[in-house]
Amino acid sequence: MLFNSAAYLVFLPLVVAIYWFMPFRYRTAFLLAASYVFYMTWKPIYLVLIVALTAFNYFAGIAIEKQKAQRKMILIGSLAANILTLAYFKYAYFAIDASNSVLAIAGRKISYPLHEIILPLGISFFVFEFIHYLVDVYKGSPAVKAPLEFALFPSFFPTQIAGPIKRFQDFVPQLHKPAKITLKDFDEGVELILWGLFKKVIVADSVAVVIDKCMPHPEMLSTFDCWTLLWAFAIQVYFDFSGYTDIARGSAALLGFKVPLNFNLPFLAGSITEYWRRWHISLSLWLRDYLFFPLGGSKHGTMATLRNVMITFTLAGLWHGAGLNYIIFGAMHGLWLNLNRLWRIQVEKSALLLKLTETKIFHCFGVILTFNCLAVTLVTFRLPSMELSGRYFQKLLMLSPQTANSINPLAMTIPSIEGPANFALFPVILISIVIGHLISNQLQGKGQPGILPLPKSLQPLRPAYLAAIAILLLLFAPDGTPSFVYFQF
Amino acid sequence: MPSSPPPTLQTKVDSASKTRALGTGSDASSGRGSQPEGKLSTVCKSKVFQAAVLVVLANLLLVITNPFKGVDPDSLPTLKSWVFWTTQDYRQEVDPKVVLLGSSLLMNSVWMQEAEHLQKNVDIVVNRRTTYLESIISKYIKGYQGVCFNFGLPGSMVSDDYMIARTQFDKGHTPKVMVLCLGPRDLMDTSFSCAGATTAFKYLERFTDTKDLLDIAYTSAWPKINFMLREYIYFVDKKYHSQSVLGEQAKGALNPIFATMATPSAFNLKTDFDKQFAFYRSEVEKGVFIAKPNAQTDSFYDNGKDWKKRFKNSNDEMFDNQKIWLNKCLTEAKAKGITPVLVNMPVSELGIKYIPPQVYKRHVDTLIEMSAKYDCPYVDTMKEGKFDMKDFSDYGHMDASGGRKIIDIIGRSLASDVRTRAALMAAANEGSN
Repeated sequence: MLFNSAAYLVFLPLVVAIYWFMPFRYRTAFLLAASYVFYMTWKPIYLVLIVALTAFNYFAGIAIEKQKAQRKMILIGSLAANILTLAYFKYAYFAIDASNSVLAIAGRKISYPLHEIILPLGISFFVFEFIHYLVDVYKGSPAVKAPLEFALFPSFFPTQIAGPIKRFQDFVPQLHKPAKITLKDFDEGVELILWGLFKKVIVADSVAVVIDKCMPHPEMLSTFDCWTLLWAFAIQVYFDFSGYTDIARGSAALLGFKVPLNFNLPFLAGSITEYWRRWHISLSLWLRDYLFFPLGGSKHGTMATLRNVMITFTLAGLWHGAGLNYIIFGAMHGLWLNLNRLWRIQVEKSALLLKLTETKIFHCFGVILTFNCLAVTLVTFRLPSMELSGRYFQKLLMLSPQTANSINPLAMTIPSIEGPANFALFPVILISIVIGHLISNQLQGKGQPGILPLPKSLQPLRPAYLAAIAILLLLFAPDGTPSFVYFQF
Repeated sequence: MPSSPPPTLQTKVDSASKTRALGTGSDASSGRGSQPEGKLSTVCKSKVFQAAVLVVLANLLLVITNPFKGVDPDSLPTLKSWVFWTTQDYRQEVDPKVVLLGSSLLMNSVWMQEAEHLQKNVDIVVNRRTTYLESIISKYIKGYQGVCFNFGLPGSMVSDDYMIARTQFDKGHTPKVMVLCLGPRDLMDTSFSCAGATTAFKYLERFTDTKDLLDIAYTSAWPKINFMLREYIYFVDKKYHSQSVLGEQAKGALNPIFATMATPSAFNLKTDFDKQFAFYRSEVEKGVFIAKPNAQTDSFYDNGKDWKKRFKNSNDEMFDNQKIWLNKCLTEAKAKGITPVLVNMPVSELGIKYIPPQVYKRHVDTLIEMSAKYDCPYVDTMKEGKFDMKDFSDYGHMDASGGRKIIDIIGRSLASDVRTRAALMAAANEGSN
C-alpha cells in the first residue's frame, strides 16, 4: 500500500478514527495489528520475516541486558544475524551473479544457480533500527520489556517502508506519554500529508516523466540536456523522498506520534559535509553512530579519518542497493566529503581563506558547487548499468566522439520532444521549482521546518492555500500509483 | 561526517516521558486515553476543515455552472491516442457501410494490405478506410460502392467494441454491417484489471453517460470508487480536460519562446524500434508508423514473452465479463439495424501452442453460441483460410499477406451470407439511386 494510493487514503483515516476512539490500553496492540495489515498488503508471506526478526531481537536485547558475562558475544551474534538476513535478501543475488561472472572470466565452467530473491519492503530500514537497538542496549540503555511496544517500534506503519530511521529511546516513550489529538496536531498532520502529496504528485512525478524517457538515452541528448536532466533528477529524488517523509510524519502526527525530521533544506547546503547534515538525516546520524564512530571516527588523525569516511560512504552506497553502480555512488560521496575535509584543513590554516569562505558570494558558490557535485553522483544512482553511466559521463564532460551528426553540446532539445506538455514545459517547470523551493525554504526557515510554508501575514489565507493544494492534487492525480524512489531500498 | 546532530534534528519528546522506564506497560492515568476535541465550534476553527469547506463550495459552484457544459466532446483537448485519431477519421466518413472492429490483430494486417493494394504509403493514424475490402465486396456484389472502415485498435477488448458501437454508430455513421474480429485474447486479456481500464474505454466515455455500465465496466472496488468520485467531484471528472487545456495553453504561450531557443530533438526521429512499439504507446502522432507497399515481410518479432503473459491463465472472471459485453454489443447492433458478423481471428501455429486448448475451445464455442443466439453469421478463419508462419510478423499479428487473406475471407463471407448480402445489396441500391 503506497502513501499516494487510494487505498491509503481510506486506510489512514480508518486507523486514526479507531485509534482515538479506542481505550488506551488497546491502542498499541491495535496500531501493531494495523501496521502488520499495512505490511501484508504488499506480500503477506514476508510478515513472517518481520515478526521473526522482531522476536529474535526482542529476546536478544533482553539477553544483552541480563547476561553480564556473555553480552558481547550475544551482541555480535545478534548483529551478525541481522546483517546476514539483510545481506541474503539484498545482496545474495548480486554476489552469486558476480561470482558467476568471475568464474566465467576465469574460464571455469561451474556456475552457481541464480534464484530471484524478492527484497522485502523496508528491510533496509527496520534492520538498521534493530542494529541501533541492540548496540544501544549493549551500551547501557534499558531494553524494551513490553513485547507489543517493541514489535511496534520497527513495524510502525508510517515509517515502516522508507523511514525515517527511528531511535527507540524517542519512539517507545511516546507510547506512554500523555497524548490527545488536538486541533493543532490534526491540522499539522493533514497539512504535512497534503504537502507531501503535493511534492510527490505535482513536483516529483512531473519531472519524472521527462527523466524516465530521456536519461537512459544520452546519445540523443546534448551536454546541456544531460546536465539539466541531472539537476532535475536531484530535484525529483528530493521531492519524492521528502514528500514521502512528510506523509509519514503527517500520518504519525495524526496518531499523536513525532518521528524524526529527515530533511532540512539540503539544496541550500554550502558544502557536501553540510549537505549530509541536511539530507536523509536519520540515515546520516545512523551511519555516524553505528559505523563511522565504531571505525574510529575522526579521532586518529587525518588519514584514518579519510579512510573511515570512505568506508562509511561506500557501505552507505551499498546499502542503497546491490550493484557496482551504488557502490560508486557511495564512494563518490566519500570522495567529495574527503576533498571537503582537506579543503577545510587548508582554510583553517589561512586567515585569508577563512575570511573568503565567510563571504556571501563564497557561500553561493559553495551551494552551486555542492548541488552539482551531488548531481554528478546521481548518474550511477539512476542509470541501471555502468556502461550506460559511462556514456552519460562522457556526454556530461563533452568527451563523446564528435561526428557530423553530433548534437551541439550547448543545444536545448528537451522542450522540442513530442509528447505530454511536461517536455515542452520542462525548463519552466524546473525554474518554477527552484524559485518555489527558495521561497518556501525562506519561509520555512522562519517557522517550523516541514510544515506548509506561508508567511505570518498571509496566515488568514491558509485555508484557501490548503484548498488550492487539494484541488491541484485532484486535478493532477495520476491514474496509476507511481512508486516512491526510496521504496526500492 | 557530522560531529553532532543539529538541534533541529532531535525528536521532541517531553522530558517527563523520558524519565519513565521503557516498556513497562501502559500508563492509564496519563490521559493518553483522552478523546479528540469534538465540539462543532472547535472543529470549525480547524484550518483543514475550513479548507475542506472551500473545496466543497468550489466543487458545488463548478457543478452548477459547469464550464464544459454544451461543449462538443470532440472539441475537448485529449490524449492523442489511437482511439482519438480513429474516431476523428471515422467522423469524416459519410455513411460507412462496413465497419471492422477488433484489436491490433485486425488493425495491423488490414492496414498493411491496404498499402499493398493501393501501392502507396498509408498512415495508419489517419487513414482507416479499407478500399481493398470494398473492392472484394464489389467483386461479388455488383454496384457496391460503400465505404469499409478499419476500426481496429491496439489492445481493444470486446467492451471497447461495444463502446464504439454505442457512441460512434449514430446518425450518418451507422454502418449496415459490423464485423467483430475476435481473437482469444480479446475476451480474456490478463493484462487489464477491468473493462473500464482501457484507453479506448476512457476516451469513449465522454460521448455517453455510462452510469448503466458501472457494474460491468468497473468490477473491482477502486475503479468503481473512482467512478463514483467522478460523478460527484468536478475536479476528478474533468481532470483530463483541465490537464489538456492547461497543457495546450502553456505550450501555446511558450512555443514562440522555445521555437527560437530549442533545437529539434533526436527523440522525434522515429527508429524502427519506436515504430515497433508505436502500438503500445498511449499517445501517437501522425506519421508514427507508415505502411509501405512491397515492404519486405520476412522479419519476425519475437513477442513470445508478452504473448505468454496474456495467456498465463484462463482469466475466467474477465472472460465472463467480456461475454456480457459481447451480448451488449450484438444487442446494440441489432437495435440500430446493423447486421453483426462474428469472425474468429487466425492464430499462428507458434502462438496457439501457448494458448491452453480449453481456453481456445471456450473462445470458439462462445462465438458459435453467440452467432446462433443473435442469428448472425460466424466466420472461422482458421477453417476457411490457410495461414502459415509467413503470414505472421510475430506470435499473433499478421503482415500484409495475412491481411489480404483475412479480407478475402471476410469479403467473400459477407457476399455469400444471405443476411449480410441483403444488407449490402440494399447499400448498393442506395448508391445507385
